[in-house]
Parts: sequence; C-alpha cells; structure tokens
Amino acid sequence: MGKDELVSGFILELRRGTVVLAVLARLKSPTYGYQLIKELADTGIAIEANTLYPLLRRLESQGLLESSWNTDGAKPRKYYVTTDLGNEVLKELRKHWKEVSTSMNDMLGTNVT
Amino acid sequence: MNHELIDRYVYAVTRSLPLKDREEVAREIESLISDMLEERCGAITPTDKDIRVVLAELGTPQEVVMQYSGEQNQALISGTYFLYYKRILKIVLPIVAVAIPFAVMLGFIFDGLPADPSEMFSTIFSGLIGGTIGGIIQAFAIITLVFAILERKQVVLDEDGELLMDLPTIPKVEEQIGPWEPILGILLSVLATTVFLLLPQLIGFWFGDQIGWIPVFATTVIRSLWLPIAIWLVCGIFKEAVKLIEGRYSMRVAFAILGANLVTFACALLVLLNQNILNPEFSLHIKAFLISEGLLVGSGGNFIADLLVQVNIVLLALLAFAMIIETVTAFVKALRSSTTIAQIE
Repeated sequence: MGKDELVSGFILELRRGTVVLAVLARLKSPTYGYQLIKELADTGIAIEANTLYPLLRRLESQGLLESSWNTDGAKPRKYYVTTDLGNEVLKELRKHWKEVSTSMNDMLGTNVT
Repeated sequence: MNHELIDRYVYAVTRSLPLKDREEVAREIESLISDMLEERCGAITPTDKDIRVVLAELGTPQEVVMQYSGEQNQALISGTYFLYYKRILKIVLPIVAVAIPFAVMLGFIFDGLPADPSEMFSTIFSGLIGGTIGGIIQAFAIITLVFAILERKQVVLDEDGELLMDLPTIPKVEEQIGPWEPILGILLSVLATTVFLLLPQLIGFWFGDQIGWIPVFATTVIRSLWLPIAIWLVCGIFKEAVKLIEGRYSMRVAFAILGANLVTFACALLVLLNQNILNPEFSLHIKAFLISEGLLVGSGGNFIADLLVQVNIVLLALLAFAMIIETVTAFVKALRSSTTIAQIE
C-alpha cells in the first residue's frame, strides 16, 4: 500500500467522525439532502451524495433527525431537521470536539506548518 | 429525458435493500438525481449524456447499496460469532471425519457387501469417500447456517461482564492438552473398534505351519455384541472430545474421564466376560501348545499358562489398569491446577 493510499484512508477515517457533527449542526433548520451537500461543500466539507443520504437515514432511525416530504414546490423533496435528542447529542459532541481540537492543535501546532 | 435509465438505476439499488425501505429510498434517489440534473443543466432538458454523467457521479448501484446497508449485516458471520464459529468447526469437523467412516463400516457389517471383489472394492470406496465428504459438507453447512442465524438475530453469546469473570487461568505446560493428543486418541479408538468389529480374525496367534493362524475371538459372537462395543467407542470419543474442548486438565475433564471409563468398563465386562467370546479352536490349540512345551502342569499348574488360556480376562485386567491410571492422573493434574489457582487468590 502506497503512501497516498494510506493518507487517503486516514483522511476518510477523520472525516467519517466529523461529518455527523457537521450534519447535526447544519440541520437546525430544515434542509433537503442535496441542499445540505452544497452547503457543506461551501464550508469546505466535501461529502458524496451516496454517503450522505444513507447517513441521514441512519441518524433518523437513531432518533437524532426527523424527516418530512415537502410536496409544495415543483418537485417533492425530503426535508430533514435535528430533533431535541439530536440537539442534546450535538451539545455533548460539540463540547468534546472543542476539547479534542484544542489539545490536538496544541500538540500539532508547533510541528506542523 | 431518458427516464428509463434512471428507473433502471433506482431499481438496481433498491432491489437489494430490505422491502420496507425500498419505496422511500427510491423516492430519495429520484429526488436527488433530479436535483443533480437541475444543477448541471439548469432549465435546459438534460440529455442522455447528462444523465449518464450524473449517475456515474453518484456511483455504481453496488456502491450505493453498500452505503445504504451500513456497517452491520455486511458479513454472514462476523466478530464474536466468527470466533465461536471457527472454534466449533475445528472440533466438529475432525470428529465427523472420523465418525462417518466408522458408521459406514458398521453399515457394511450389517448390510453385507457384494461378493464380487471389484464390486466390493468400489462399494467400500464410494461408501467411505462419498459418505465422509458428504458428511463433512453437511456438518459445515449446518454449523454455518446456525451461526448465520445467530448473527442475523444478534443473539448475545457473551455478556461483557461474564466474560471478564470467566477469564481462564493460564494452564502450566504439563496441564495443557494439545489438540493432537485427543484427535489421535479418537482416530486410534475408531481404528481399534473397526478392526475388532469388522476384522476380528486379524487378532490371533501363529501356531506354526501345520495349524496356521488361529484368531483369538469368535467372530460371530463379537459381532452380536456390537451394541456394547459401539457404546464403548462413543465413550472414548466423548472423553477425547471433552479434552479437545477444554484444552487442559480441569475437574470437568477429570469427571468426564471418570464417567466415560466407568461406562466403558461396564461394556468391557459385558463383552469380555461373555462365555463364548473366545474362539474354541484357539483355546484348544493354546492348551495343546502349552502342554507340548511342558508349561501346563495339571489343573491350576502354571500361573502364566492359566492366564494365556484366559486371554479375555487378561485383556480386561489390562484395560481396567490403564483406565485407573488415566483417571487418577487426570484427577491429580486437575487438583494440582486448582490448588495453584487457590494459592494465587
């Protein structure tokens, strides 16, 4: 396995952990899947549709999101929004994320340019 | 717009998903594709090429299915189930590989074999090889099926807490039982039983050119005693199987050996104390031989000579002696290992 493959594997692992946090934070206001992909991409978080859609379903089955079909527009779209439980989980995760990122930045800051 | 291509793509994804999710996922993907096409083409009607590009961007149907299936249910048997699955296979398959040929042999004894030598050979060959391979495949299939069901139902095999309480102590080298010892034991008992039942005429003495080879046992009597002999074998296999599973001398192994040996001895009494077990010709010739050598002096003369005449009693005594040694050794080893545990605690 070459260096590039190793690096992309690790990046994938790092991203997998953070994407839930990003989704929960973004979905405080109801959003449909494709719009969410674009919003995340605008903030620098690239996620593929075939990863995000199943993830949204999984988070919904865990009770962190809820969904409803909106048929008012030109075409039907499924809107997702964070539930109360989702917001509580997000609060915990955010706290944890701040701790981790602070200590990681401390550790990496002096060595990484 | 080529709806057919999209429909086929959606169908390819949803047909591998659980029934209850299909309709919803189909709507989601259709909505997503429509959004992606709109992004790409705006108000212009998308061409076939646009649809192909968008679908390629979305990934192959297999990739999408993998994502929707999640991390669970990717494997037939995984994690802890796989550990147990391997352990059970390692124990069961060798036993099946030994037990089936024996059962096939028993079948030959009772159903008889074709008289024609080449026909007999092919019957034995196909029965043994075919039966054994078939039996191994069946055992493998059944075990795999059982574990696949356990995996699917996510049956709890081990509570985390119990697992810690159950941590085995590390056996000392002399208390360990390697896997080959019991497997060899099973092989030898099956071989011995097969010879005893199928070819008892092989056990005998050579009385010189004039008389020739005289079997010790009466073949028909031995075959009529097949049931205690079979139980004897089952006890032997049971004993070795317990050793194989435990992998060390523990009280469980010691009691299994004690129980199996008691039953074995009862069977041995039934078989070896049978009045007609010895070939009458053998008794005759051995007596004549001993008299001619001047070893048998009257009745109750020479002790060794008496023993040779009653070879069944000698065998019984040897068997009892071996089983007592085996049982006592097992208990001593088990006790020694449990006292070292007590000392540690």
